[in-house]
Amino acid sequence: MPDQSRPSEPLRGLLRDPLDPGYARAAARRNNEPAGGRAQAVALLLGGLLVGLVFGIAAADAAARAPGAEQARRGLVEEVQDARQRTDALSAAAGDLGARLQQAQRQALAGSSQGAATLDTVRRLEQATAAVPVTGPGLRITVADAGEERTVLDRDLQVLVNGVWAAGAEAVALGGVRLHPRATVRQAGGAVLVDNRPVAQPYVLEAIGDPATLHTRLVETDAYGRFATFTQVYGTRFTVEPVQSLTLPAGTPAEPELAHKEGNR
Amino acid sequence: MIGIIALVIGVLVGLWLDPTVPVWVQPYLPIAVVAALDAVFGGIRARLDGIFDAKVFVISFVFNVLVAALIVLLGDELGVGAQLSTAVVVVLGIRIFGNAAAIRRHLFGA
Repeated sequence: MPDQSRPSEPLRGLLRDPLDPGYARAAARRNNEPAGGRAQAVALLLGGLLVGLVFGIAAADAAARAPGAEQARRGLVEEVQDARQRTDALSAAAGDLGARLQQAQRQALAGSSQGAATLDTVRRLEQATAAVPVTGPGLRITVADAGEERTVLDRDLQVLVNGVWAAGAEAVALGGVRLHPRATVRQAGGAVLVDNRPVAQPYVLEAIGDPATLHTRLVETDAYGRFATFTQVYGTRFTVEPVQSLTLPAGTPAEPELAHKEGNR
Repeated sequence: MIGIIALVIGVLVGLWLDPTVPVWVQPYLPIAVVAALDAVFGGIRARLDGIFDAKVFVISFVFNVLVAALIVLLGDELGVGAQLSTAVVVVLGIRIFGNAAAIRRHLFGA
């Protein structure tokens, strides 16, 4: 029975004597005389040159590449940090300005009954255009592919979003991105983009509205039937659960580009 | 002596030429360097043992570089290029260490 603890023959040879056996064999062929002659000198010159070339080229290549890559990396890191700081500062400024705007609106309009009506309209419009965060009861719908294979596509999510709106949702967010009237759900390669922001699986759709009514009316829509079929055929995960309190963030409604208030032009 | 001079000339020529290494060669350059180190240490060791042969030196160097590159190329095609690179570097590394130790024993008697 062979001894299993011993390393195999080539490995043992490697550990015992790392010198290329070719040297010993060549020496034996010469009867252990030292090698000499012109051929030896030429071969030595050639070998030395070759090895030196490899070292030189590798050193030059490493020297040429390392600083470039390092500089690029450092530059990118700096840019990212700058951009992050700028984003933080800007979002803080935006929040501040938004609060001041609301305060100014309230001060200007709260006095008269007409003003109060306008304020109410503004509030409803802000909610409808997803300009402000909203909180309320609603449904949380989770959709996810069963395995690696992609079965849920952007058009399916579009149908689901439309179904939820049709069921009477007051505000909808998909993957944590609030949907405003001009938001899109579409696919770019493998990624699903909601209002141009990538959203990963599982897709979580949150809709604010009376959970019971919303659920009942959602069951009647095409979307529900579609996903029920997906569950049966592909094993797609599709769960609908009522939630007592959902908070949806503000969206980023696009500024009107062509429409201007009368007299503003 | 010729070998050392040739080596130095080679290094200087390589540095001076500073050729643009094609992208597909770049993964094999470190392997070639390790194979070259192995050949150099093996050569010095053989010289100290008194059995140096320049032909064996050249052939073993060229072959080691080619075989190492081939193994890594094959590994890249099979998707295990990094692991096979490691294997090549480990094997050549053991040889370099062993030969360096033998050279040390020759030179310092310890």
